[in-house]
Amino acid sequence: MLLLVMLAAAPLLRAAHPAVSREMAGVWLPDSKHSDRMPSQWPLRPEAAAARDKWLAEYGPVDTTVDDTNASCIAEAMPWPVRLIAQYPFEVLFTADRVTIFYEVFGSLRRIPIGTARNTFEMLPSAMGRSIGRWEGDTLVVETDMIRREGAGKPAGNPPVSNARRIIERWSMGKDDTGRKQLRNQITIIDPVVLSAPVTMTMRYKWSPDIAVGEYLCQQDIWDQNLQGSPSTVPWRK
Amino acid sequence: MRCACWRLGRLIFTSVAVLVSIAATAATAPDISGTWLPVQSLSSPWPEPLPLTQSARQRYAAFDPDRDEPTSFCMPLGTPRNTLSGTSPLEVLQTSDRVYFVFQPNLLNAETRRVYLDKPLPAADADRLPTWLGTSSGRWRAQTLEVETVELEPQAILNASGLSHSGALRMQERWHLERDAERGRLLVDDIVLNDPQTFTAPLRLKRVFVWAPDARLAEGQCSERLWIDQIWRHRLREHAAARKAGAR
Repeated sequence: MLLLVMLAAAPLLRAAHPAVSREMAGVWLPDSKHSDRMPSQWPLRPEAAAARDKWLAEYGPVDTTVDDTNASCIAEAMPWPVRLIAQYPFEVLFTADRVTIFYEVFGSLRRIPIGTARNTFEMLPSAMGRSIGRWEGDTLVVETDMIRREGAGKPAGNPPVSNARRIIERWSMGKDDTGRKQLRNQITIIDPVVLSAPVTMTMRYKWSPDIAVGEYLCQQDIWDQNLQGSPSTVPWRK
Repeated sequence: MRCACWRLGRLIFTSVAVLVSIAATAATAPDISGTWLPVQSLSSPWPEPLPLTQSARQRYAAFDPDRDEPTSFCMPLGTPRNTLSGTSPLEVLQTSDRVYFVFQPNLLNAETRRVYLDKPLPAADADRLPTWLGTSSGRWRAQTLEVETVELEPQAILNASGLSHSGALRMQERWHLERDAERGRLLVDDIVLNDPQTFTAPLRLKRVFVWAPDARLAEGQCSERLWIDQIWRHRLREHAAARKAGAR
């Protein structure tokens, strides 16, 4: 009876989201063993492949210690934060009419309004892009566009990015092999200028209630050098 | 039968009490969520002269902005500087058990102060490292959110003049809503900074924000400047080496 009353009261407090949102809320870690890897061969359109080859001929070879924006503390653009397989946590927070995702990596933050498009007045493309969410039953569907191109196509083999790129995510709950609850995200990358077909992969995340999303001080290395003259781990910063 | 009725009655009473309690909690905690813009003219300036200890005065005098300003190196503002300074918006996210204060200065992507409600601060532990945003605990007392923050990174400074603090800094805040005839809804933060190693007496400051539902927080990319600098430096070295090799 008590449980029934509490369940009846809950929607009054959180009307915008279904009950499954209470399962999704909290801190999660990537479950890399049970998540899809990036495709080894991207279905590049011929024009995109030619443009990439031309770029490599002109500016290559790529030196990832220099040319990788991550090494210079530039936040990774969508969808890399959601498909990260390293053990960095993220937190999902549900508030009225909105979902907010806090990533430890780069301190990135995604704001996902439910059902209402954000005002795009003077909005520039960004690493996290512009997202809008909707509930399809117990699945949270998030569409993201206006993704910043710089740093989005990493030189380590990921494809170039056009302004037409869209990401569709389908967040849902499941269980892992041991019966523990598991967060799933089916990610579809659509980029008609670059890709000849959408690319889909599924990520799985481990429920991690004892972990907090910490501070990610990418620039600490440069700051320490300034204060203490300590050598950098990045070759060209030495 | 009489016994069963009594049990049923007790269950219903308890259930109703819980429901009323949930509703009361939701009703009594004011809604401070949303985006807010700082109002400098309503906020208190740093007192003159500052009540500094001898060692703090020496640190203050030795401040070198080229060397000691963390933001020049894309480090965070840190707490309490993120709350006390700047013109960028503040976003408040609020649930029944936590309040998050999100600042997005042009430094890191976001500085999120996480305030967990009715959860005591951890006991002092020398093994716990201080953080730039600190460890916070809060509770609603009537219409005011009381927040206490400790374990603050002493590498952070308090303002652009280079006022520093020690690892013993303890920040107490009282967040509440006010209404201004001209500006409308205000979010007011009455702050007390306790740091016996820095201040000879607790320092009281006031920070005021105005309701700004159309304000948007944007991604900061401070590191781009560093990246471009480094890329170009590296590329110039490469070109210089190529020219030298060609000359030989």
